[in-house]
Amino acid sequence: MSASVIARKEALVASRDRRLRGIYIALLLAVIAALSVGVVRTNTFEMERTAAAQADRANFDAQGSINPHSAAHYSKYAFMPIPSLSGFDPGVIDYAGMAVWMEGHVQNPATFRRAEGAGDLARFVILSPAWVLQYLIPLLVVLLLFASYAGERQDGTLRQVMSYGASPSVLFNGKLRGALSALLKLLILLGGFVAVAILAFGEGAPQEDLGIRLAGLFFTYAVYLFIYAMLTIGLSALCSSRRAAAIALISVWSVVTVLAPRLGGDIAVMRTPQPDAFDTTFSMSAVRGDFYGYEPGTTNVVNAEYTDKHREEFLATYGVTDVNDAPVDYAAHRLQASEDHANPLWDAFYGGLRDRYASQENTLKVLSVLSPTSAIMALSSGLSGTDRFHHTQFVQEAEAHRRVIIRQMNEDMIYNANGQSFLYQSDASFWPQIPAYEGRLPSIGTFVSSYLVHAGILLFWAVASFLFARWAANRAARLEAVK
Amino acid sequence: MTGALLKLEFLRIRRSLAAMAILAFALIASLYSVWSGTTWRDAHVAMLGNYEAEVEVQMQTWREDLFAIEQGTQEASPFAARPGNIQVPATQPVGPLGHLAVGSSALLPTRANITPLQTRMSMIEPYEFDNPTTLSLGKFDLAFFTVVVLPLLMIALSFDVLASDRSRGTLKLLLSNPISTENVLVTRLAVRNGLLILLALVSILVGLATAGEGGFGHGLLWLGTSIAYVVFWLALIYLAVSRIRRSEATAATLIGLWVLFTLAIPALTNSAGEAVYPLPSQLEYLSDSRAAQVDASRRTSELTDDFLQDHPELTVSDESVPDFYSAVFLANEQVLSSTVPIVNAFEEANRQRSAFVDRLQYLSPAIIAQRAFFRIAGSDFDQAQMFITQAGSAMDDLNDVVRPAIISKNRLGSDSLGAVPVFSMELAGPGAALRQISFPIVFLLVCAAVLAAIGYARQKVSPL
Repeated sequence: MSASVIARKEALVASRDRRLRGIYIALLLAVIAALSVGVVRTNTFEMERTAAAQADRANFDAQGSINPHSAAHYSKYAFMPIPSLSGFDPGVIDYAGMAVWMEGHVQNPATFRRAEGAGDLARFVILSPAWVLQYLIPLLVVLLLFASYAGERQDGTLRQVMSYGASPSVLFNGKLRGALSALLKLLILLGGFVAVAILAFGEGAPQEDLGIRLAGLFFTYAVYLFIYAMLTIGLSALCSSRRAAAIALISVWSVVTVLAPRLGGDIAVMRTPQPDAFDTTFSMSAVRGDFYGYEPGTTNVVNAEYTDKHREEFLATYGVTDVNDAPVDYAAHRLQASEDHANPLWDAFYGGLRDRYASQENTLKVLSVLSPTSAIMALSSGLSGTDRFHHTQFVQEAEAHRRVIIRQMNEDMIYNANGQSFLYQSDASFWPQIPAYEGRLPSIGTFVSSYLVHAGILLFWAVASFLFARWAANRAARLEAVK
Repeated sequence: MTGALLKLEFLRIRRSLAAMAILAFALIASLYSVWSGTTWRDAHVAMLGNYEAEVEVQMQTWREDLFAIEQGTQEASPFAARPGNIQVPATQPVGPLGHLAVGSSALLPTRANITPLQTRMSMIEPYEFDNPTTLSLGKFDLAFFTVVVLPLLMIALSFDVLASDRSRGTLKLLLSNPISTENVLVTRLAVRNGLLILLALVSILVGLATAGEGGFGHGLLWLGTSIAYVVFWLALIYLAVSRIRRSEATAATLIGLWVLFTLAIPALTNSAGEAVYPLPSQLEYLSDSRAAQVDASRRTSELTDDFLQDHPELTVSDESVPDFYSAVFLANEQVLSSTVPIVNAFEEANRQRSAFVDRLQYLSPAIIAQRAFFRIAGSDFDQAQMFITQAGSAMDDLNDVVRPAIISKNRLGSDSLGAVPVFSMELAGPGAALRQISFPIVFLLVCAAVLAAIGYARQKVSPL
């Protein structure tokens, strides 16, 4: 008896199970529903972003004649582009701020998190195709394969098959082919739905490497479902009855898929707590006022070291003894000097926050050794362009843009105020010259090193689960043979 | 015979490695959830306390300056003790059981700086510093354990309550004794789940022991909600084991129902809420507010032209400090009145959506239980909204007190300081929470009774 005969028999048995067929169709419908919800959400978010960016531009340009530093405080917002693939996996999109206020003096955190408007249900899951693939399709795999060995052992058919000359390895290969064939068909179908929905109806911000990302997602989910298939076959082979196999597999699914990611996130925060919001705000205030020597949270000058030093350098640069004799505006020059002084401090401040996030994510990485679901969640949101790394890229780009536009406004005052300083007003025609933030989505190659550990863990799971399934299947076959 | 059955069941559990593992996991996970929540609460309360203390330090200086100016004992800066600089710290308190259900408290703002120089939008202190990755995964608190994990463990312990005996062929032997199938079923379900519930109860009691002041009434509500939720699942399990003979089919059915109730329906309800009552875009709100800000600045330009609100120390001469405060105050009032319709539209949309979810919660016991836990803990979305609303009202009250002084460009007399509002948000007491959750909880119990009745009838018609 060959492996292909066994594979065909597996497919035949599965196709005869009406209950399984019903679950299969229900899950396909769930994916289609989730995809519809996801695509509509993405399109709405992107439409809102485009409208907000246009309104922001109009508001900024409509300021009329005002002082450039007033305009720098009013400033502009950078809005994060929403990738089309967020319709597949929203990742952290709902929990990360979508807008950055590019104000003078301050690198503000990203604000406007969508989950804040979602009410109490935000603490449950968000329906998305990725969620169905991560949580529910593995359950389908379990239902499809839990009886693959255990059922045959319970019914005594395993010995019959072996009596036809099927060796343990042929038997395993047959089961494996049957499982892979079913999974591949399912994945191709789902992948087709996702690709068509995203390409034809997705109106998110363009991702230049969309094809690579889609292929990556297909491959990653194929590996993930392969792991579940191997775990299911392996555990089924270890159990002597359908009942025992069902219980063992449902327990594994519950722990690995439902509990481990949540528990992992909680342990990560217990190990490295979230930043204290008050301390963080206080530190921001200290960075903001450092150049002027302000006592944090106030405008009381307690240290004039930097302003005095700047004054001396300013006088020396322009070869004058009174700041009012310089050919440029001293107050505006000092504003830009305060920006140049604060920029590395902001880099260090936000670098510290990112280190904290990285520490939490390292704990998650370690714990994902215990749960392939944690690893697939990280890879899936990364490939979809909706994880923290992509968000951080947006925040950093917004900050780079802030520094450009604030300098542009300060320089207008430096060279045109002629000593009027804060009484100087730029003409209304100046504001349209300040560029808007044109967010572009980064390519996956930018962050590829961040995903290597998760990819390695997933591959480790794939190899380990395959070896486990082969060992367990051979053991079951040997046990049956000696009965 | 029931006594012997009880003994036998306890013996079986003691000898079953899987059952002992489930019970041990239940105890460890539930205690961990309480510990995790307590750690979060202590850090959060400390953060709020530090914030209030810092504002108090600044206000103490402000008051000392005012007294000194009134007594003429020191020459003060023109910026000192201005009514525009009064700050009232507003914090959303953590409820007595806030550590058992973190809810919206981890996501929404809980601090506001109420001062006449802020608008409703800018009074919220920056708070969006948490890692979005871990934030999106949620908190493993006691509410999550009870709503999601506990039913799963109940299913794992109970799905083969009779089927295991049937498959071993010992059921007939058991029933040859003077005992009914119904008796076996109920006794076994009671023993297995009783042990599990007892362990969960230990964690609840530990959680209640570490509750804040006034936690007794809330604790009773928490216990009541937990019991109602557990009773619902017990009834569902009873019905499933009464109707389905094969244990793997029972397990698959119950797991399917668990997926449906705790994962699928909440996700679908969330999506439906978004689709039927979409919130006005937050970004649109931002754009409208900023347009109002530009408009207000332009209309008050004759007052604010010479000043930069963010740099009064650089742009305002000593003699024009009172003008500065007056101008900024008027500009802020202008922004406030311009944004009232936007804020109202937002609040109305929130109300409609909340009412919609109120109706849809009956589709899933998990939604009912979670909303009840959040309400009891004071960490629900409505409480967070109430905090923002109350902080806004406190700002109005403060503005009413300081308006005459600011507009007349004077300082507030120290005899008027008593009129400055002190923000204190009262969380809904157990009575209010009871009114909100009683109907859904009764509904849950009625569902449980119906399920149990169907299961009982099935047992009578076709005993296993």
